[in-house]
Amino acid sequence: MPYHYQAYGIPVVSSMELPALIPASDNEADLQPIMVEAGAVPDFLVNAPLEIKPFSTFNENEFRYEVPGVAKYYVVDGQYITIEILGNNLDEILLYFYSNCLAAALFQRNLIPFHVSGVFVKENEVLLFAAPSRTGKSTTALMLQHKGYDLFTDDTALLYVHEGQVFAKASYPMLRLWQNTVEKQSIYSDSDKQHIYGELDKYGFSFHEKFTAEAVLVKGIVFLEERGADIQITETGTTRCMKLLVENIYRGQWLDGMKKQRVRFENVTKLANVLPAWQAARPRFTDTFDSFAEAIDSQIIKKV
Amino acid sequence: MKGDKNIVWLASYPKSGNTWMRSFLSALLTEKEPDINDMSTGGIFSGKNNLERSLDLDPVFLRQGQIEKFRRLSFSYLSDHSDKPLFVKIHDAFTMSEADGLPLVPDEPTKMAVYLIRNPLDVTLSLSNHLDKDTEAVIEKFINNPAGEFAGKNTAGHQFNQILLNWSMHVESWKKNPRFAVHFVRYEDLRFNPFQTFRAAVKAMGLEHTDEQIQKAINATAFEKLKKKEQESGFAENMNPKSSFFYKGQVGRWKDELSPSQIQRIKEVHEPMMRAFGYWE
Repeated sequence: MPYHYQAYGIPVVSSMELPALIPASDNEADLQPIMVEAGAVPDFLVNAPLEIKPFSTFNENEFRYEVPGVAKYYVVDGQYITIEILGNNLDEILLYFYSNCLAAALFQRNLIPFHVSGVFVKENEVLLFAAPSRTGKSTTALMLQHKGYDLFTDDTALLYVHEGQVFAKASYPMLRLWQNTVEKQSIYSDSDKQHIYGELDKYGFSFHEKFTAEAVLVKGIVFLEERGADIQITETGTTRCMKLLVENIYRGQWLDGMKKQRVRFENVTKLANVLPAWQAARPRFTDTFDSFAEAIDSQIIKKV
Repeated sequence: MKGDKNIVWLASYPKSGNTWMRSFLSALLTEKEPDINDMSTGGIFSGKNNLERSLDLDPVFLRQGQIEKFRRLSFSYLSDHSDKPLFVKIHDAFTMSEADGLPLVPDEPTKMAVYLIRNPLDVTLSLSNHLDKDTEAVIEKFINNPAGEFAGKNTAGHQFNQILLNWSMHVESWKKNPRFAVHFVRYEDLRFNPFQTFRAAVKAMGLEHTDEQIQKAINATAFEKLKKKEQESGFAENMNPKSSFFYKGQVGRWKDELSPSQIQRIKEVHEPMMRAFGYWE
């Protein structure tokens, strides 16, 4: 019997267990599912590759990824994902499925995932935090959870415009925190943490119970930056917002090789035209997350 | 050119003039005043972003052995796809991977290296300011510590852990181990004889620039100018909010600011290398 899940609001039917995803019944969605199976991954794409990188090879409809000693992955037409297992650590193998394979499948469907965390500011309304890795997305969202705002997503979400408003669909209910951050927070219980693997001092926490798989209204997006000596929050104009949105597309470096320039331009233009946006800067080498969250709460959340 | 060996490593123990050299190269290559927060060079070896962009993965999930192997692939890819030289900063000592016995720094994409060296007595004071640690701690944890390292293995920061060893071992590692050419530059010579010293480095890197262009880049990156830029717009690499990255930049501060006991302890550990580079007085 296959396993049934949802990711980014899309049904996923898998021959393998995918524990980070949210389980779903097998008949609730009307979207074409993503089919996942273990099997042999071809050495080459069927059609000519448009970009060849050390681990990734892709064109408009095919994406092949290989992490030596871990697994090979093949994603085609936004519908079929094959995983050829090389290593013996399933958590490690699935990390690249959750990140790269799902992102590739979304791009193949002309959908754009963004590198964002987010919290609920009201029922079914969220504020998002966009930033490259290691700029404090998870920690900012965590500090706001201490202020009573529930987590929407930890790392990625699909964004789109519908009838003049921006909506988001969260990826899956897993957040990952470093041990030193785990020790500074009181939202997640130490007993619930899941060791990711190996020597890493980083842990996963599931939030399946609080997870919302449906689309939610986006009240705004905050672009996080590490800059200057003080916390500073400013509103962002449309042109700047477009540029920052492009910079924060998850795995956006693939879009040219996947011939998705037009999809990117249309998507980002529509979003920037209606999405309230801010830039929020905090010092790079000083721990200011408490006061940063306070500033975001008082200067943004209380006003949206 | 694409496919050539394009990487020039700008290697140094921390606080030995690496940022100054990168600023100079940025000014030389662009013929503009350098933006210290966006230099036109090739990033840093320990930066996680290079691996993230070229291998399409989140580097925090990699094991140490994977980091070492995959980073070589990443820099080979970057070199192969660049149509110009990449000047990559590196503070790591030149050591071998425990996973496969090969050098951490890949030979294959490497054109050569420039190694910047500075009197360890002055490095101690500069590093103390940079890390906001007292000089005793800097001597014990870094300058004299054969197991010295930067950043730590399990951190959320932008950089991987960097093995430094102690100051002499760091210099020694870059003198003895690379199979590519290494051009040594003394920080003190950059200060007191900038034109000859920068010009020799430019020649060693195989760059073709006129004496006028070199002088112009030297003028654009004088220490006081870089310090002023940091005061005006900040510097992302400054780790000490109480002070500045471009702090004093002086030669011989140690004579006034280190205690006789501190000087003695540093000299005891590093005498051969200090003598070899003209720092014994």
